[in-house]
Amino acid sequence: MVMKCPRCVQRVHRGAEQCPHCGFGIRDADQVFGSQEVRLKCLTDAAGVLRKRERETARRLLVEFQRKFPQLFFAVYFGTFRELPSLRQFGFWLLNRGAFEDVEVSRPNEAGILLSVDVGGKSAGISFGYQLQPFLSDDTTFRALSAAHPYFLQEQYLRALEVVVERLGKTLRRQARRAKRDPESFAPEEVVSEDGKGEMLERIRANHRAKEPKL
Amino acid sequence: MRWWLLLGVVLSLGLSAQEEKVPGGAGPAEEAVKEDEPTEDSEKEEDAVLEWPTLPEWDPEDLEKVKKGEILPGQDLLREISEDLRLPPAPDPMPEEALPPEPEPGEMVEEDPTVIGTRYLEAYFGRRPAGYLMDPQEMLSRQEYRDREIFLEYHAGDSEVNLYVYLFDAEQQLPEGYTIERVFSDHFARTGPTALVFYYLGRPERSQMLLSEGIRAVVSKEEQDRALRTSIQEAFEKSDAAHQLDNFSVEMSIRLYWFEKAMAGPGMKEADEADILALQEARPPLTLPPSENKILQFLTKSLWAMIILVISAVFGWAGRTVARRRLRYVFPEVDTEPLLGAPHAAGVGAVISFSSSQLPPSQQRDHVPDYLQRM
Repeated sequence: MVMKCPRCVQRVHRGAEQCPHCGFGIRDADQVFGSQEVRLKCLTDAAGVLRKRERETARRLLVEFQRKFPQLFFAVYFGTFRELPSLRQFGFWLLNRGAFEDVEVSRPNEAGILLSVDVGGKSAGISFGYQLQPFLSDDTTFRALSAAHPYFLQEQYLRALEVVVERLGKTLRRQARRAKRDPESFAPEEVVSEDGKGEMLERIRANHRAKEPKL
Repeated sequence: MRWWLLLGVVLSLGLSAQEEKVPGGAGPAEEAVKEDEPTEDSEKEEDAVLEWPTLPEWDPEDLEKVKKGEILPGQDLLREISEDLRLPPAPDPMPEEALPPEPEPGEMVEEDPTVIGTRYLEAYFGRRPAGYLMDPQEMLSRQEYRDREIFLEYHAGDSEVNLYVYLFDAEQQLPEGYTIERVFSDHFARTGPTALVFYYLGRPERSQMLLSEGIRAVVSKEEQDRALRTSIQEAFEKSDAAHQLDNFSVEMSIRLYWFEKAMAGPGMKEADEADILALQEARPPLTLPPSENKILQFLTKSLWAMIILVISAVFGWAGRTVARRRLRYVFPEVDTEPLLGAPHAAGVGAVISFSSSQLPPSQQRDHVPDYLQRM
């Protein structure tokens, strides 16, 4: 269970108010996107890429996800951003500031998964709440997005959403079974930040060391 | 000089042309020599003269009488016919009583085409036929009858099941009280495996067939009907009535061969009534021989097993699907501390770009820090 900063993508230890590498925090995101709570629904098609029938299908898909996972919910946001600094930061901000009207109170945002799609910028990202940190990762979300990549390319956004939900649902089912068998393996682990030893710095220093013999 | 020379040449050419007009170019003396030589024609004429009979010659006495006028040449030919040489007198005409009286037009008796003449009933139904083809009305010509009789005899020699064919005219009806069952029971009940056919010449579709008890015990009614039906169909392949009978007989012979195969079993060759009854009790009527029946049973069992397996699989799949749909996945509660000041979520997943269809998703993955991006 490794947490990463939405801006510098470096490891962040538990309880850090700001990223130790870049100083990023929710307030930085609020300054960009707004500090007010945003009211929206699980399916938000701000870009208008889905037809009416596709929207209904997408809603049924999201309802089915909630039925299968009684603690979780899945939200998707299709938008077009002119000057979006980072889709990753937008997803981080929206999942913290968003108020999903059609989600039961028993399902807080901590148990939410958000698929953000920048239709104009042609990028897609996944964010998830604290409850899902032990069960999802950068790699599992990347595999889900990779599977949907052909449909994103063809602008078949409904089909892409179906693939992402299906892949993430499969991962979550597997993780739920594992958690049921061995709950201890999903206990939160202590991640101690080593000052000045982020992944990027490690890569930079490794490159330096690799170049030393040539000098 | 030149004129004299030219005249000499012309004269010499004229003389040579006259010489060429003479045949052979030979003189009269040479021709005389050739006439004296014997030729092939003259020799043949001489031979013919030698072969001719010599002309009659008068006896000297007769010659004297002819000269005296006592004998007139040709007198014997010119005399009157004597009594001995006259033709015998013509016989007397037949007495009128011997001729049958000619029926008057109004009294002409037309035979009913649907009725079998009473004079034929004894031949048809009174006794068992001597051959395999019964045609007392002689509707077939002698040659046609002989050909078909030979075929039925050949069939009887080659098959365990004898085929008897009774021929009737196209529209004829069996007399009251006579049926194929009665004929069979009267004349064929005690024989071996037999097939009795009443065939109506020109109307094959009216044909009737009855098999002996031993065959009926083994061959189903459907098979019997099918045999008769196909034989009739084969008969209709021809237009001539006799040829129709040919086709009918051949097809029926083939069908009887299959019946014979179906009834192949111990004791069937010498089957009598007792054997037949015992066989009926021992073996239920079947349309297939036992070996094929076993295969059929095996296939039936396999088919049922397959069906049960498929149904089980379908039900299993459906049950699993329903169970999975009803299944709920619950996660354990995880204690987490807020991160980066975010109240609900700090989980950062992957971000990919789909701007290029040429690059794979892994090369469009966005995991680069955006330090320098404008906030």
